[in-house]
Amino acid sequence: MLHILFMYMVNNQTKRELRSLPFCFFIFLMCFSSSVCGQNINKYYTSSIQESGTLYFIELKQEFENKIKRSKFSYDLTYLTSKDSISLNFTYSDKIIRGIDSISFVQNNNRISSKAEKIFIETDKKLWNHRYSTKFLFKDMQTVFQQSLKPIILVHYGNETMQLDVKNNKWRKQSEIMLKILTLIEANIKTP
Amino acid sequence: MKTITKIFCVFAVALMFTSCATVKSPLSGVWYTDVKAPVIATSHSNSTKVGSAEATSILGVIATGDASIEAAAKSAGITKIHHVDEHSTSILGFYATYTVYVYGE
Repeated sequence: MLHILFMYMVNNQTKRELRSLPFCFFIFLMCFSSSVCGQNINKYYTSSIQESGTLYFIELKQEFENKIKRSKFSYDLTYLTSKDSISLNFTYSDKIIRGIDSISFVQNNNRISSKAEKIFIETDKKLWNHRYSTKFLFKDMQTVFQQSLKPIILVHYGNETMQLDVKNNKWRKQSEIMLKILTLIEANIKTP
Repeated sequence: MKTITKIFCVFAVALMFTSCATVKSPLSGVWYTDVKAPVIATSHSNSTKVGSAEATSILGVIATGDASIEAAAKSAGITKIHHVDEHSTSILGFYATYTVYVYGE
């Protein structure tokens, strides 16, 4: 095997070809990943046909955070086409237990808020994970994702408010996917 | 000689780790897996809630997470389960995820 390898070494042309191998491999990986990941929205949602309409579940694993307070916010959306409202279930992680009252999306001086209903609170190492459920109008959520400017999420507990932010490039990429899913849902709603 | 040795080493290491992060799935691809499949269905119908739970594996060396039906149902406050689906993904055996979706009310 080593002899063969040595013979290949002598040949400069082969050597040049071999040098380009990592580059080719990288290009191949890029093509592969782009064809696999490029706007493939199927992996971000599931749908199930029910008696009262189609039930959609959207999970982008989008994380908002407050770097100073080290708190995190992630959410998923559930929508039944026969209803006007969309359920937003979220996990809010903080160092101490908070009695969350409501959450708000603030974007372009517009603010939409909703009361939060507790599902459970559990601990994960140093953080407390608060699992809550809220409801927003489908149209309002669609408006949030249509904006190019990223929103700020406000978590209200007692008289305090926690402000959570997301990175610009993450928001741009994920709002595109979310908007595409919401457009798909809207296109599939049967009009009576 | 050094360059070639390095390239061979990279490929050898990559090959060693390929398909290490395997994931439970009815069908699996060595390079890429993205499969949704059923787990269980009950006689109940008309779901209004969906919950998910996920476990991940890196290189088949580290595997963490709670992808149990209970964790998924709990995440959405589901008390009556209608059906359960699974979603398995794997990329080149480096990174694999297993997600359970519980539908219910």
